[in-house]
Amino acid sequence: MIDFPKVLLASPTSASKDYCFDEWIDNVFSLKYPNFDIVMFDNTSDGGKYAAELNNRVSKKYGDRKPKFKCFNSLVIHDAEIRSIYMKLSLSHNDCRDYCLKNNYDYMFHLESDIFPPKDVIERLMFHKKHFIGGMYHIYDGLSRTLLIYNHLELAPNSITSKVCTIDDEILLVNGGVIKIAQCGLGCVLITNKLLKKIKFRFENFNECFPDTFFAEDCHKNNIAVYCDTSIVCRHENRFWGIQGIDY
Amino acid sequence: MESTEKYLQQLESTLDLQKELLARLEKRVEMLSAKVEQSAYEDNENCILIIKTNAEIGSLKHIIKEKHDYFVKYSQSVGKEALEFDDKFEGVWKKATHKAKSNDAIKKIIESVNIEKTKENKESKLYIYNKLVSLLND
Repeated sequence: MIDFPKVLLASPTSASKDYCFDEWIDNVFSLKYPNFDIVMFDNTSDGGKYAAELNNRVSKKYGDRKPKFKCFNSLVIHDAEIRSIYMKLSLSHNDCRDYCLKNNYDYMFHLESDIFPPKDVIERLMFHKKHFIGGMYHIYDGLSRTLLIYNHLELAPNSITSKVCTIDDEILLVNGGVIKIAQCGLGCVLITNKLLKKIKFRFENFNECFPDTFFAEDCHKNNIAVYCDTSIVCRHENRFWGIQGIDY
Repeated sequence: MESTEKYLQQLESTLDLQKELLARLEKRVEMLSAKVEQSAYEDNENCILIIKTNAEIGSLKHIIKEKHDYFVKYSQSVGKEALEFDDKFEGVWKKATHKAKSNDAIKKIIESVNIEKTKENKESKLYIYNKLVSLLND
């Protein structure tokens, strides 16, 4: 009997992502990896109603079937005054991290609740034996749509600016194999327990950077390389930013 | 309908380079697979290159498909609007600049937007346009 490493599929979410939840959870339940659980941390300001609704919906549809599913509300846990989207996301990312460490999972597969990876994504990412490795997906709308891979981070005294992949970069970077990058999004990444113990997710007041960027920056500061498997292309079912405003 | 198709064509044109690369990679595999007299070493190197090229092809095909599917959906939802709002933008911007003197929400947007950069990006422009229109109608 093979002992498969224990993986936590962790996902921050909010009621604003409900438009694709049913399809997303079906996709997650169809992942082939044999040893993982699912936890979601909802950051909707509703006293935990949406989280309870998700627990009910999944329980009705999947019953006691594996993987196990749980959803909590981050704001109820922390009773915090949310000052920015960066803070909100950081809270939920850290809830995922804490749950993973507390329950001794070997890896955290961090999957955002509008990302649809291929069914063998966990084993494919795990195969490379990296502390931090992601798959690819696109962001932005229309003519600006591009892969969320950063080929360099620039550190300024009070801010980090990252350069997202341009359409030409896509051609230069993507070779179907594993490449070292400056940063990828946290939308589809496999992170080892060892790395999570070392690095927390964070945000900074007055610095409009997402926790994704800080996490990558902290990896580099700790001499941990960030990788991307360019053979993994996920569907990103983000709402169209141009019409409905920015959707995270 | 016509403008939706036109916008889809515009979007699809961002894939031209990828499609050209894909065709050339496929051509490479075809050429490497052709029977020519060569040493065992060269033959082996060719086989390695074929494997690597096929991995690149696989990834590129995924990206092209993913973007194409998205473009179809996106153009259907904003195609007409995206092409037709352009003419109205200047008027709305002028009106908003005037109203910014007495409306803080509009003022905040006007002050935070780099108008020249925004004009270069259709999606950002549409986003700002919709925001301003909704605030002007409030």
